Amino acid sequence: MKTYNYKKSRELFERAVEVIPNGIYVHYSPAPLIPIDAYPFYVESADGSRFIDVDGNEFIDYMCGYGPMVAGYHNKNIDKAAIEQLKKVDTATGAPAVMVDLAEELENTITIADWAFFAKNGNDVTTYSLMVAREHTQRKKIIRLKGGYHGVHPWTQSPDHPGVLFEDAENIIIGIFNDLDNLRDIIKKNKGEIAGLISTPYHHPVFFDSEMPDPGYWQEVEKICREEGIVIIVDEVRTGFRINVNGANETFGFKPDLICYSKAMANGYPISALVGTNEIKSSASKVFYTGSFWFSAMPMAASLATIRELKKTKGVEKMKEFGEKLAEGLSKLAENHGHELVVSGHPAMPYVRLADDPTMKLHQNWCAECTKRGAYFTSHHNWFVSTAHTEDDLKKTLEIAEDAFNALKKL
Amino acid sequence: MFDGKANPIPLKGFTKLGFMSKEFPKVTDKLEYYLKPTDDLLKDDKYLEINTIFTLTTAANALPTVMEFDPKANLTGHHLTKGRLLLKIKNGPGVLIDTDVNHIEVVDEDPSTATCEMLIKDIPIANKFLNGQVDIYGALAKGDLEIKGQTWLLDSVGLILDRIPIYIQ
Ligand SMILES: Cc1ncc(COP(=O)(O)O)c(C=O)c1O
Repeated sequence: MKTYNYKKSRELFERAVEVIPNGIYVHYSPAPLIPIDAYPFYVESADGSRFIDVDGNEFIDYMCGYGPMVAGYHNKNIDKAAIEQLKKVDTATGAPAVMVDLAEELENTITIADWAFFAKNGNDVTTYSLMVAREHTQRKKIIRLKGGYHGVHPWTQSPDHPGVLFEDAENIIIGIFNDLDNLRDIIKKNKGEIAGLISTPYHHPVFFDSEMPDPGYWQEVEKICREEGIVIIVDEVRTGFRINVNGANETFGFKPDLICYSKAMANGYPISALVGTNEIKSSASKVFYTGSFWFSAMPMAASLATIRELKKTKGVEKMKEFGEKLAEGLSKLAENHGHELVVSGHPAMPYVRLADDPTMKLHQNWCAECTKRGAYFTSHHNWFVSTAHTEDDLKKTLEIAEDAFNALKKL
Repeated sequence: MFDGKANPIPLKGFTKLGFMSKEFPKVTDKLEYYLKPTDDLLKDDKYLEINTIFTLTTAANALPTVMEFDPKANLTGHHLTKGRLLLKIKNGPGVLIDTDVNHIEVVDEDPSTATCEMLIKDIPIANKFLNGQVDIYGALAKGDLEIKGQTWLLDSVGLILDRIPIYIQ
């Protein structure tokens, strides 16, 4: 099978490092892609489940822009809604009418939602959720969980990281997912001081296997938080609209007070939302929070169309089915080649690793060999599937994976 | 580190030992020469090589102390996991560093036992890297630095390494 080269990507990068810190930063940075020469850096175009890089190489995209693409690049219905809105107005003096339609759609779709507040990035609303919880409870402290990602604002980072102060973490307590004793202990030691608990619905850290909630875990968390008056915040920035359009909490059987959305909610158009219950609405109203582009209408129209499209096409079920077939196919191939493939997390966001080599070098090499042949696999982040991934994509992916397993033997 | 004429190591009481009073200050003078580069000195390939190797060894051996006393590095220490990191100049010398929770130390073992590797392309790049003049993500993407294996170890050890220059300026 032919493997790709990335001459133009490299040339662009050489220019980029001169004028942009790190060339390409953080989550799109090529640095964590190992070995680096197997990966493209710059994208030229995208359609359906695939993207083409600046060197003309085509990839079946298993990162979906790290989550935003959920219903296919250039999804006709979504792009049409966005462009029609753009022709009318995007950002102007005043709120757009579509904002009300979108808030109503979210209120009708997400079980716990009585209201919705819009911003741009996931971190805009995770930070807002903390402010709302603090206002609501008149308490200071927040529990976030080890290995959980909620963005880049100082409170989300450990204070040993550059630019972060110990003071930034003063009222943040780090808990452990699936560990109720740990939660009880934290609450006991900080009685009456904890405003909120923020957590993803299941644990999806980088570098390590995803972890589903133990049976009864969320129900007990809910009970404890209700007793203690702690606001439950679910961060669905990554899982949102991939696990359950009504909220992943419905899949896991509990009711949070606030849920954060972004990424997939508009199929790649930039928007985020915090939704919540009526009990907490007046606190949300009191917090001073806004941004220049948070009333931009085009992503709102795109979001409305995305949510409707996902509901109409049973998108979540489709992604789950595709993800299951992908995991099964890849696992079987690995077994045939004498390897053990471990797949964890939700099928629409699988975390995949070859478990034979604890140093991860074998896994890194396999992901790289697949990518060089056109199936874009990262080695340490969960992958994403979309409703645009087809049986043809699956077949091609498995052919690529087979060839990559053969290539590993020659390394 | 070795600053000006002042002897950084308290030699009082040992001055009657011949080595300490004669050869040792010469050694420290030599070390100072190689560890305090000037732009002109760095133009000499041999000097550059020795300065780079000394800096690499000094930095690696400073890790436990920095982790113990620097508050930020100390916190990173709590997050360290078990592993063995190889920090190596391609076709050149390297150091092997063992890590675990609150533990970091240079070890003398077989480099092939490393669970994580950072390979530096050549001496000039290694020199820039060790002197904090390299845009790490950019260098990785350009292939000047190459990483593999349990790269989360590098995230942590990198944070501790980053704290060293604060104490030697
Ligand atoms: C779970 C989770 N929360 C929050 C964020 C932050 O979102 P953003 O990068 O849009 O600010 C992310 C981004 O990856 C995420 O995965």
